[in-house]
Amino acid sequence: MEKILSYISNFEIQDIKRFLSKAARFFPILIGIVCLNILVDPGDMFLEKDHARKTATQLACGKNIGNYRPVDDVLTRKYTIEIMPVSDIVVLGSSRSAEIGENIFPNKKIMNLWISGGSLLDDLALLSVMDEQKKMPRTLIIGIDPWMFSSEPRRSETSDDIQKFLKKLGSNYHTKPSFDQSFWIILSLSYFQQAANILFTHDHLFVRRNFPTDENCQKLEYTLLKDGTLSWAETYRARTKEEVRQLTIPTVHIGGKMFTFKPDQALEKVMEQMILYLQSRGVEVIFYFPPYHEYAYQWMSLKEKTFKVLEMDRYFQDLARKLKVRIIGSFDPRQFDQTGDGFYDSYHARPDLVKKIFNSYESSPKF
Amino acid sequence: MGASCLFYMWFIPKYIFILFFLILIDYCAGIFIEDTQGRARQCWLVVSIASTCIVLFFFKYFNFFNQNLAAIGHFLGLSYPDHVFEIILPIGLSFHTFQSLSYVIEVYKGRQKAERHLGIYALYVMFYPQLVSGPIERPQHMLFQFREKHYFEYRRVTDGLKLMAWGMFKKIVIADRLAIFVNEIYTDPSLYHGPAFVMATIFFAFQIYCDFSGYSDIAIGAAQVMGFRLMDNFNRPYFSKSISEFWRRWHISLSSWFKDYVYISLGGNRCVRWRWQMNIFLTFLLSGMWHGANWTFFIWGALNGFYLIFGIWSAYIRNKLSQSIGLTRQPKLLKFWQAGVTFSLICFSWIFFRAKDIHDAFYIVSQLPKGWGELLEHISTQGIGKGIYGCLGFGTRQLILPLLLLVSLNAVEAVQRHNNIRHMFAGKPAWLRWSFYYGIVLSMVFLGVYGKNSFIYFQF
Repeated sequence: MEKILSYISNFEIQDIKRFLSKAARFFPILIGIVCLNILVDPGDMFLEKDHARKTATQLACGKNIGNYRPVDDVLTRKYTIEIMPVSDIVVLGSSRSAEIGENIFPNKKIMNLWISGGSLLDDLALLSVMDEQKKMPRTLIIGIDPWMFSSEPRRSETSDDIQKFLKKLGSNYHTKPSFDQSFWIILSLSYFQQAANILFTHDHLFVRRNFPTDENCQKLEYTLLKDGTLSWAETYRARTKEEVRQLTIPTVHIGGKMFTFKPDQALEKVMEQMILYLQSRGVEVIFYFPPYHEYAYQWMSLKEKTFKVLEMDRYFQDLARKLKVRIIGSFDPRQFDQTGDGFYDSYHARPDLVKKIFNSYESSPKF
Repeated sequence: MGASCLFYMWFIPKYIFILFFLILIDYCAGIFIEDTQGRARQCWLVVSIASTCIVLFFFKYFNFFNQNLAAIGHFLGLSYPDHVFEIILPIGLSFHTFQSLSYVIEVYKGRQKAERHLGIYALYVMFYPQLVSGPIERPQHMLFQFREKHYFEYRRVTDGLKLMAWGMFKKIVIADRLAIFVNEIYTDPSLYHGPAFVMATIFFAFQIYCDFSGYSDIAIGAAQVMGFRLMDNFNRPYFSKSISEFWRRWHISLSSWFKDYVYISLGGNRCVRWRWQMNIFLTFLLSGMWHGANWTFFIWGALNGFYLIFGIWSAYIRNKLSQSIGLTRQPKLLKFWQAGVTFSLICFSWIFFRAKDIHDAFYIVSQLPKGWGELLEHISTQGIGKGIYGCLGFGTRQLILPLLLLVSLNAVEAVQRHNNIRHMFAGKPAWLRWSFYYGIVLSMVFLGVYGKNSFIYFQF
């Protein structure tokens, strides 16, 4: 240290001291960012680490979860599997499959374990827990999305589950090493912006932390229903057909860029191994293809970039035929005479349309 | 040097070997050029330029030329293998190759002594603040700086940091916010009409300016913090009153590179009139192709070359016209008009720069006059908010922030005409200076768009 200091003149030391004292004036901003990130904690990374377990417990008690935010939903679903008894039907998939529930199968014990933006790796994590807990259902509906083969790392808590199940499947696929985000997110400016948004808008901290959990909670915001399905916020439910059409124009672009729609040979193999494993355990696997809004589908059919969506569609159709997996639904809404009024937005079908799709299949699903 | 290597390897580590290869070739070539005479000297110059250009051609232009040759072959009924190499362009390749070329040419012309210290020459090419997107420095301006001892000076360090903060503000707050709108519309032009394209293109003009000048400010500022001086790369280009002035103020290091090594080598203006204009046109064509292997860049370059030549042809008529309608008696109005026309022409050329392909670019140009009646009808029947939303797909509330940011940017630039804003604040009370600094930092914190867009010029 002394040797280093010997290279620095007294003038420089004075200048360095002056600089550091001025730089320290920005320290309150840094402290403010860290404090807000921790105190508001929009992703429940610091203060509400047991939020997922609480949510799962409430669901197991037959209660709906108001003001639901799918932040740590992989964990929520993992705990749900651990707490809940065995179901007849389990649904895996993304929010596009979040409407399949008791309204479609009133006499069956069904649990929807959708995950926001869920991919094959998330499905593997949940199946691992089900297998471990001996809670495999008789029928498994897998919601098919074009981004199924996204290999983005999820929260570290489920990495081991995925790896364990991959071993059972005889796969040598390795998930990307997931990392604990909590330390770095403390300095994240995008996390800070979310926190500030919560603090300064109607999405008040108090409301968010205190979610109502009775059976008839007011469904103004998103509500996770006791069968795992999602009741959309009032702002979405109130949208007219024309409003949805107008909103589809800008959002289809974002959707096109949001995920990597590309086949992944390694994950394709894992998918096949997974289905064969499930079938060998006596589980009936069904692929559910949630429809897109007519306008979005037309756009995807035309555009080079999203043409990959249709490629993925074909891939999953072929896979279903190869492994004798039943198919329900289609990305193409015209198959259900849809002209756009059955959607909340470009991707998400309303419950009535989902029910119509399932009812349109004779003996579907057969139990 | 270590930091520069680490910085470069952060993107694609193995490409560092290409950089080392080029450095070694040009380093040796520089020494041999200086030490030899006659044809041998020329040979070394050719070897150096050729090896640099081959690497640039292979990574940047091979697929483009191959595909076009295949298309011509197909048209003529010849069989030509249409093989596409799946290669990623090494980051900053166009910039550091130009900097290397500049070195060997300067040594050849005797304006620069060959650098005998390999480490210093390597640092000249790899110096990390300007490695990936310039400014493209000349050896006379940089090499000697690597031999100087650099001390910690409060004024210099803080000035550098202020410049970096301003650059980051331009990039994160303005460019990346405008990118949301621009990307939306340019990703799928078939959904939009004239008003949306006009808005997106104006936004793009400022997006690319804030993106690139923001990067340059960060680079210059970072170098300044360490005690190095890099050349200015932008000088309020959208206040230019003519296209030639614009090119003296936009990407100055590249414009001057093309002027010194291409335009003047072709004969510059010391030749017959038609040849002079051809030199201008060819220089701009090359400049367009430098930006990317796509016909859109070719047309963009050609268009700018045409603007300049047309400017020369029409100078007399325009002057006469200005005099006859009395514009020359209103100098401020004349300047405003000239700046407006220049900005419009530049914006028009940006359409070709930004469009995904030539088809999209011509589609956008063909749609420019359309949709204005529809916009007015929407506004008259549904009000301004819903009318704009119906036509552009964006609400007025979404548009207010980027518009306010553009007004602020132009206000700051207008002020900088007379004095650098940093120097203006230097004499002001501490509370005012610190309010400004806090304002900049807080607006980055609250209004910045994070993790969405890399710098546009990284792709070149």
